Amino acid sequence: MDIKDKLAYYSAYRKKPKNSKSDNVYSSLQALRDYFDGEFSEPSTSYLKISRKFSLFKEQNDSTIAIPFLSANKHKAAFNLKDCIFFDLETNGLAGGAGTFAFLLGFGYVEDGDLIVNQYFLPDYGREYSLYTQLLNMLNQYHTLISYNGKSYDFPLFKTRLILNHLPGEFNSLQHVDLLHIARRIWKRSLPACDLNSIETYVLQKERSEDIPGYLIPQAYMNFLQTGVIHDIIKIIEHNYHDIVSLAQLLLLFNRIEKEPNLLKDNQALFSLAQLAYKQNHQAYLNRFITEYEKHRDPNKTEQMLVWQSLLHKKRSEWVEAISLWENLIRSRKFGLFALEELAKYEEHVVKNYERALQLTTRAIHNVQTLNELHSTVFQDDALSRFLHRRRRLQGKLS
Amino acid sequence: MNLEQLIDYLANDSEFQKRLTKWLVFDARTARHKPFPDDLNPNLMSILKQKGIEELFTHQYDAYNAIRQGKHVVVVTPTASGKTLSYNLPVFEDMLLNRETRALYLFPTKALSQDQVNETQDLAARLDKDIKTFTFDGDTPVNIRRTIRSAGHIVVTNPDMLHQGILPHHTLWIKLFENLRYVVIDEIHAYRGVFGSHLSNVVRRLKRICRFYGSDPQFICSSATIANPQELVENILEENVTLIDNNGAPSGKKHFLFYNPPIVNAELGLRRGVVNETRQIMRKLIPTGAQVIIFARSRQRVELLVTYLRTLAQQLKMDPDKIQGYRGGYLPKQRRIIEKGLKNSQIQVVVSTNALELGIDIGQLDVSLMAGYPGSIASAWQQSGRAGRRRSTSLTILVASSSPLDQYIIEHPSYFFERNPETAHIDNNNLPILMSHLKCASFELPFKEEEIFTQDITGQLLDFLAEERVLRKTDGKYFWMQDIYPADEVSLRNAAPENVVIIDTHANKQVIGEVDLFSAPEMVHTEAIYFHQSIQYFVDQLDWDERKAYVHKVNVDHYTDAITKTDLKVLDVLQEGSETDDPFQKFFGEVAVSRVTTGYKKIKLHTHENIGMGRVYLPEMEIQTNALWWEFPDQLRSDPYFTESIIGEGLRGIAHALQNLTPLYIMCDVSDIAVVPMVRAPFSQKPTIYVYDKYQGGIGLSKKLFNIDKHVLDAARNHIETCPCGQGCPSCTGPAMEGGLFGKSSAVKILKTLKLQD
Ligand SMILES: [Zn+2]
Repeated sequence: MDIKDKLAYYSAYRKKPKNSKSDNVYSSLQALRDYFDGEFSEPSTSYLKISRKFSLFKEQNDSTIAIPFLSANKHKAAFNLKDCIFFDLETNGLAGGAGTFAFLLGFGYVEDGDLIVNQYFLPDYGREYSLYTQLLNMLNQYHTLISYNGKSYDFPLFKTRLILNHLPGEFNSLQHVDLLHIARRIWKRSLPACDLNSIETYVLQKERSEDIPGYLIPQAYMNFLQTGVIHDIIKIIEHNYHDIVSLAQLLLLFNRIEKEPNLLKDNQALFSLAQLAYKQNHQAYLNRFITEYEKHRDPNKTEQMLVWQSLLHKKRSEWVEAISLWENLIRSRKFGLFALEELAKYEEHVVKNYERALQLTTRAIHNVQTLNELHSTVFQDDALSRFLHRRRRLQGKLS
Repeated sequence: MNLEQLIDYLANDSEFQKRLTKWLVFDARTARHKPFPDDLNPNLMSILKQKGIEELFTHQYDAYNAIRQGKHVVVVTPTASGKTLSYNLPVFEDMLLNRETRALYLFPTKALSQDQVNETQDLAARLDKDIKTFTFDGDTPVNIRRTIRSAGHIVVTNPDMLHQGILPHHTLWIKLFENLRYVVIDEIHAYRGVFGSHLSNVVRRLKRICRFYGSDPQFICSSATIANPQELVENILEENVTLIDNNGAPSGKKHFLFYNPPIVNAELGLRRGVVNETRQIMRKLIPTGAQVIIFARSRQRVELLVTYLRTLAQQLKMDPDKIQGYRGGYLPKQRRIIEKGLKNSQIQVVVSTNALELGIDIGQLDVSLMAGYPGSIASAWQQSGRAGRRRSTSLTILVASSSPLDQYIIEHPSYFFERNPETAHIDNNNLPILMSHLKCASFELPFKEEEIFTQDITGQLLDFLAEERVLRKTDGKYFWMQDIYPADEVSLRNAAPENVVIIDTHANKQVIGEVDLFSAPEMVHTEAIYFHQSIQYFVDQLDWDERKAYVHKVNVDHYTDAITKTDLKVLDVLQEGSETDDPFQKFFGEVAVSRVTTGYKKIKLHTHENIGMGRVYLPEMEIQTNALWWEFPDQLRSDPYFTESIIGEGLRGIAHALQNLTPLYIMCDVSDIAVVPMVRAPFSQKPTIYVYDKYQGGIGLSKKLFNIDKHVLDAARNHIETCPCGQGCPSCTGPAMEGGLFGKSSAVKILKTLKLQD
């Protein structure tokens, strides 16, 4: 058999895609250009460029962005909004790897209170080179890249495309702020998922009508390649445009939350920030959250924050403050044992009052045993063995 | 008792002696050395001296020179012959000069690579040089992957990871690919058949990526002793390769004992079981204090033997913990403890699967005992090589099972002192495999119109993929255009992408095995009795769509025999190879084999009475593959002895023997080929036996058999004729009752008419 017959046999074993006629893609491309009032690249029509404007500011003008706290100190220094470039890619597949191709590249920057969104649409494979050389020049004018999940998806993909076109893939002077990471820090407890769509609905209160869901995008592009039908491509270009607008809005929102966290109406979110403050040793922030919680929100949650605060005091050896917090926590159902343990540690190791330490330990053991009797199913075995160990050691020191 | 005394003791044990078919003694070999090469880096030289190495073995020296001359090489050496130094030396030599040099080391199994990492790290530490070795596999934590990609000088991985994790993400590995100078492929004989055909295509992809980044690495391979290492490697790499096989490593005196358990049922040709027999032998060995490694053919057998031997240890009043198992599925930490225990003699007996056959460092033991022939002579040598500290005497005992191949080997030990006849083959142009990798390659980099992936047909295949809308052809290039990650859809190790999984419903839904889709209808149809590790299972249900067979253990007095209709159609004769005076004709070509299982017979064990039937409803399976077939002479029919049914019995007997002996010549599993006898072939009407590759598109097995068919047919004749049974047994022509009463004599008669010997 020759190879043709073999191939026929081979193909009989797999699903045949629907056959469709590929007609004149160029005319569809013209239609697309006219629809968006875009322009073709010169001299060869290797891509379509669409430029749009979105009015970002109404009155105030936040030209400086400072988000050291929300970025968990990854971006300590403030940066200028003028130097930011927002970006988002649409691809022919979601798998990642060298075969994934970005056919729509959206970039946004701010100029006089407007967000300028430039989108580059590649009407076929193999036409990246001239676009990417231009984009490299363009990117050099900015120093902060803003994306949503771009650190693990869009940016590596962008670099891969550069490498595949034998262009340099290193960006040493560009800092990259991935807004997804910040959104997760704030809303991980509030939302089942922190994808841009959820954040838009929940935080920015935007609803997109006629949006194309992300998972349909690859297929839509392939349909375009085969049929030239631009209906879905229009939706994708809109989708990408709105993504970039949301990026800019989110960045500005984060800038405000950094300054005034109590803007957050969502208790879970505020609680998450309190935890962030604790992790970053940020006492002043933590105090603000405690006050806010005690006054306006959920006083039950305050206990956890007091624990964090006591631990921050402990770290700094601010014993008076720490002890008073622990003494208040002894009666807490949830943190009573924690408080007794911390106090016992303090007595044993800091002031070396073994008698006091032993008293506290014995009290704790008593509490654990009572708890265990009350809820025989529960957890305290670990704590119990720790306390028993401590008691033995203290008894040794005392005898 | 030392080993020499043990050997004396065994030699004088008449009961033991009775079971031996052969006692081979291989004399000690002295080392053959060459001085360090002149251009060897003085630092390397001094750390070698530090390690007590004053000279190189001849093969190390030759490998070093050939590699330094820029040649691709394959180094063929037995176990424990300093093979790793053969490739580490030139690689390190280069890395000491060029800081950016990178090397990729490929090992067929994960366990092996750990040792390699330790060894190169040790070299780097002694040299006090920043040459980093990292393992990159499925277990590598995500947070260090980035470091490995950019800073690993030597990246140790396996072909599966290269295929799925590295090549499709090559842009993350620029540093590696831009500077890749060496690719080491260890144990390359392990890549044969399907696995090797895949590997060869992975190598094509690797070379393509290297060209993109401007590198052109040298391949350094190592292989166990097989008949055609150079041919195998040249086929895999598609390069000219220099063979280095002048092994200069010393070896001690080796005793190699062939042990055949006694017959318990002459009619069925059944011998005492390997596990029990091994226990009997160990009863003699354990008290001597000799350190023993036992190789068992399955995980279950490992566990069974460990249990038996621990009981035995207790009876002998010794610590049962001195007996340990070792197999896949043990945690790495556990394995390290066992390896250490073996090295410092805390452990006396280790029972292992072939996991320990390859280069894992456990030091050298006194005795290697194979509980069953490991399936190939190359493996048997590797397992035997586990015994015998350099320059000291060692003992190997091969305990045969009742299977035909085991019986053949035990009756023909000459294969162990003559040239190993086993050849390894691949077919890197097997269409399904080739297409899978062509897709992966297209994903990795767009193909240019004139580019060659495989000779002659690359363009046609790419156009085909473009028509199928897998690729898009534009501006003279083919671009990937599907929303899938093609490497995920290809497993390098599985013959068929789809296997039927066998699930024991009474044992926590444990998976006990797999059957390829093509064989599933006859092996695990609903209501079949399926034998696994000699245990009977009843198939409650074969869920065809889900590819699952649900079974539970039973103990019944019958087995089932599927009624399967095989239809074999010759599509194309590619080669006719008979010589003029041959009384038979042989052909090689393409065939379509379709099989449908329509029912089954229930057959009573021992008496072989037919005690019932059942129907099953399963789809017809078809594969297109390569086959070899022999048409036997018409004169057969003129002999009054040969009635139609006696010819049938004879052909079935020959088929049974061929099926089982073929792996001795062509390295493969018994289940990789199928042998189909037909009393009257559809077109020629002649008695015919077909042998085909049980894999879509063929994998090179029957093609090779075509070239050596007379040897194999004659070996079958010899084996059947010399088998001690009366009228055929499972070791030769198949169980007598099943094969009929004339199977054995008819088979011999037919084969004799072929005038196989010149
Ligand atoms: Zn026999």
